[in-house]
Amino acid sequence: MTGSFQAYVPQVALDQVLPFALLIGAGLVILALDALLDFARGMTPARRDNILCWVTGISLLGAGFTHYADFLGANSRPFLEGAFRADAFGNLGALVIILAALAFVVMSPSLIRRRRLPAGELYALLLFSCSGMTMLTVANELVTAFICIEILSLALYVMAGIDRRSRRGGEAAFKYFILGAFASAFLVFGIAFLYGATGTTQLFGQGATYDRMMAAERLGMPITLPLGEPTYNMGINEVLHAGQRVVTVSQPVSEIVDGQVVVTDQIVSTLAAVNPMWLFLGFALVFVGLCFKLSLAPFHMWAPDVYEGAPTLSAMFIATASKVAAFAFLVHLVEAMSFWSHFPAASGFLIGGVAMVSILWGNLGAVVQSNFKRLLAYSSIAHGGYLTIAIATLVHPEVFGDYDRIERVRSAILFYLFAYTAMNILAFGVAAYLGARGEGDIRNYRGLFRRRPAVALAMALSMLSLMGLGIPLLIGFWGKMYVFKEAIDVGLISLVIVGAAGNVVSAFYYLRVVVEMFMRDDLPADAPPEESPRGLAFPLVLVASSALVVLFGFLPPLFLALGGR
Amino acid sequence: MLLTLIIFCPFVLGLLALLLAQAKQMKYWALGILVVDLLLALYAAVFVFDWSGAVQTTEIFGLEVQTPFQMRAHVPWPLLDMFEISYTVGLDHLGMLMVLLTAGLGIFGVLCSFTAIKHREKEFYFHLLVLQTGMLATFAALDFLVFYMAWELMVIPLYFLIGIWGSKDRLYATIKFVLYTLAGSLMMLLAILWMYYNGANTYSFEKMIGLGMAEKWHMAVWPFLGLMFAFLIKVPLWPLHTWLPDAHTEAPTAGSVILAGVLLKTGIYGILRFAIPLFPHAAVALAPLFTWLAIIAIIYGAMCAMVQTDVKRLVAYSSVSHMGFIVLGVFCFNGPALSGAILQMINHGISTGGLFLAVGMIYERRHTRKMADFGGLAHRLPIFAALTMVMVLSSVGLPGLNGFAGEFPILVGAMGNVPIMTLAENPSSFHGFLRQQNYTWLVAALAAMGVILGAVYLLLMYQKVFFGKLDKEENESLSDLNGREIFQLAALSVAALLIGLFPQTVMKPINHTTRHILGVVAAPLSLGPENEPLRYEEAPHDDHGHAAAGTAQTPEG
Repeated sequence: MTGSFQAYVPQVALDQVLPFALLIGAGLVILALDALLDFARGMTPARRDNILCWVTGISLLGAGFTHYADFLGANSRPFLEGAFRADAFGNLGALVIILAALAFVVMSPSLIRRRRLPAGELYALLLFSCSGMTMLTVANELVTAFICIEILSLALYVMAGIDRRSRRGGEAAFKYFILGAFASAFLVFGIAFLYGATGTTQLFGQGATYDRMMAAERLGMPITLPLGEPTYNMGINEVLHAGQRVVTVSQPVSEIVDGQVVVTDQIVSTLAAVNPMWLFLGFALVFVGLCFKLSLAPFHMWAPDVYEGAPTLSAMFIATASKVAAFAFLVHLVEAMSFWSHFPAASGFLIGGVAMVSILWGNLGAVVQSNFKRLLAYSSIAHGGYLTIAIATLVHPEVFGDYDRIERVRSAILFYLFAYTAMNILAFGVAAYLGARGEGDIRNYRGLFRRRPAVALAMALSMLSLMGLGIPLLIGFWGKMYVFKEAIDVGLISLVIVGAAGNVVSAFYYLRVVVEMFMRDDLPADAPPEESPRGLAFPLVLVASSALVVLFGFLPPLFLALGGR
Repeated sequence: MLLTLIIFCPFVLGLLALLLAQAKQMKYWALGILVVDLLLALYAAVFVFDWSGAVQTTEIFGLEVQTPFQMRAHVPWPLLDMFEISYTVGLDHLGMLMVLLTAGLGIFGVLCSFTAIKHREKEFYFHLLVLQTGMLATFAALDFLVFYMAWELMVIPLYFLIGIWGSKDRLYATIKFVLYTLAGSLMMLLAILWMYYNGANTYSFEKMIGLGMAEKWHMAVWPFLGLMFAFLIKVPLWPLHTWLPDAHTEAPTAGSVILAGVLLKTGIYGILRFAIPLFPHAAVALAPLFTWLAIIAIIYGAMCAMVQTDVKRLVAYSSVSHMGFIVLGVFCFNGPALSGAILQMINHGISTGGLFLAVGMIYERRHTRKMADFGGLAHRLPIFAALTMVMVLSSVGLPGLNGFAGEFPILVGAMGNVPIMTLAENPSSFHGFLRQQNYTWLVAALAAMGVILGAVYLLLMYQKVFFGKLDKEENESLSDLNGREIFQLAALSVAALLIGLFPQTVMKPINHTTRHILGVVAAPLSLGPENEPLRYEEAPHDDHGHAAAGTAQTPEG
């Protein structure tokens, strides 16, 4: 080995970075257009907002297509020096995120008009956060993931408080920011521990890719670690599989070249045991940091205030897309760590405990809410709990090494995320459609069925579907059903029973909304006037998401069948 | 195909009516649809259904199984067939009887609402029709997920029926009803998932039986309790009954009639169809528990009924008491009690349904249900008084009416002193134990207390409402029943009388089911083959050529 430096040229394949590049580029274009369009002749603010809306929508569609193409050719091989690793799961998660963003864009013009929001900034922030989220779903490196989380969070903080006239919005943004920063500290701390324990920040390495490990595992063959290779080629999963990490030190070696003594560096690798305490601390801290982002109890304090204060569509985007992204990353992290022999025992309690607390806290908290958006916030805490049951299933020792089962659990998580997104688009969509009346007190929904039967039906559909187990043939039923099935299969009965009990409690508050809409007619005197926007945008989204809720409720596997599986 | 048609006819045609009918015409549409449905069901019962109960062989997900179910439809669920989910429906004798009961009572649900429902009529009748589909599907479903869906499909329309058209505290009642039912059905779902992952790997009930899962699961108590939790909430058995008085009291008349007449039976039906055949060992082991709960329900329900001032609430508590009888009959695990319990399922639908109809008629006239507000009505409404008397007596269990035909065998079975019918002599069975200790009379005596108390509260109620002096001014101007109302009560009275006088016609098909269930629990009870149900029908000549005499007979074999 010589001391000469080789020029470091990262290999960038355009098709791999296209989805992210498209979103970031479109965000920048939006910012430029926003500034430049004002100079165009005959331009009114309304027309400008219209153009920005179309540009955003089209770029999202483009990103969606590229993700879909990526998904079809997904090979789970790390790219960009191992910073990303696009597997089918991540790509489908990104598609769900883009779906939520598209719903946002379609419904946004009336909101922008009504609340007089700065369109250019809103769309640019949407695209930036979207890029952060889609990158997070395929992130393969802890620091990259952290940066993705920061990108998406910073954009979401601003989106939460973009209505500067609303005092609640400012409060929401500030609260979100403070607690988000808190969470980031946990994340960084955890990442540091993980690096200290394993000597790498990659989840899945390039040396032996996940595919190869899976193949070797199936054949029951040992995996040889490439000792001489630099450690950045190795991922946490390989280190943990070996149980030993590579410690690389460079030490000076003197050689005689052409009669002269030349001092060169020699890279020496030795093996050291992985410290399980550091590893657990690292995972626990990263998990807690993600819990903040996922609004899982007991780290959920921000969610009700942010949902209530933020503009409804921003709240919808925060509730759906950011959770999809963070869950996708959590799944990848958990999978990368699955080779750690202490992982299930040490983390099972942590993950299962968070799931249990979230389900109970979310469902019980929602019962006493009077504000519709706060109710949805608590409901989303509970739904996060149900998803965490699936994560607990994924780390269960019975699942370890059973790749068919892992695939099933991953599908269950993905389907649940999709179902959750579709149902919440519908619920928040109706609330946004009704304007101030829909976003406030639940009692303002009284008599909605008599006045606007179609809207009330859409909301009832979403509520019954959010209830999950209870009304079959709606998407929410299958979401929970899949998760519960896998959890029972590995024997996590206690979690499932808590989940079922929570589901009964949830029926109370979801049905309360239905009761107000269908069975009561005494609208409170202080109910704000109805201000439903005209045009086809809202009906389009509401009909489309209703169709998703019903269609995938009838044929749940269609979601994965569409994905070519 | 015919069965599918019967099940979905109310829903699909109801949807059509919702689009086409005018609000005022909707009731006639609903009536027509339900009559068509009843005719279809009768056609199936008379011409299609094979009452001799032949067992056919069929293939379900690659397994040849013997199935007693007829008129089957089996369609694997698109894209979900790898989980062995399928739309499977079929009827055996029990199912056929329940379908006939459902199709019949549905008509009364519409008839009694003709003038009672004044707002949002289209929705009301649509919900009734959806409820009908849910109930029919529940009685026909042979796939656990389809059963679960049908089970939930019954809840939603009733939730709206109570919540929108109910009386004062309807919202409280409807939410309570849904929460109770949902808690039960979630436990059922967990039990279903448990079954799927503990050897069955299918949701098809027939395949589970075909795979011999009942033997494999002989240690399983929790999944059995999960199923029973759902079914006993629906029954409802003490102490899970508290939703029932509220739901009944607040529901509109049609809701009460359907709820008492059919919905409560789905609980018993589930026990007989799924819980016992799949977990016979657990059922036998836990029979004492359910027997005593049933005894408590019988007496507690009756005592609660005695102190009610609201007629409807009284009838609701009488339901708790009567359903206790049925559960008692089921868990005695002997021929007469089981046959009596199944017959009582139909009887209770007729008599309690009739009582709720009567309460609805008087409520429509007087807008009160307090007994204190009535008195001496027999003077003003003689026809109403006479027809209600038949219903009350049928509910009390007067010999010659249907209630007696059902309750008597239950008491006989509980007593265990059936000379020809051998009970379980095995001390590990509850009844065997009691019988060994000469204690079966205790169960029977406590249950018989329920009959006596039933006579007390129902006849006292009748006396307070109909006899005495007509001393309330508001009651002076009440009009007697119109033709539509007379038809409702008279039709049910005729049915009560027919079953009371000729119980053997109904008992014959019931005994098929009884024999089946007893065959299922024979192994855990270690019964001999001579244990056969009480038979009301004329016993056929056996191999030795002599005709069996009397009402209770051992069958051949």
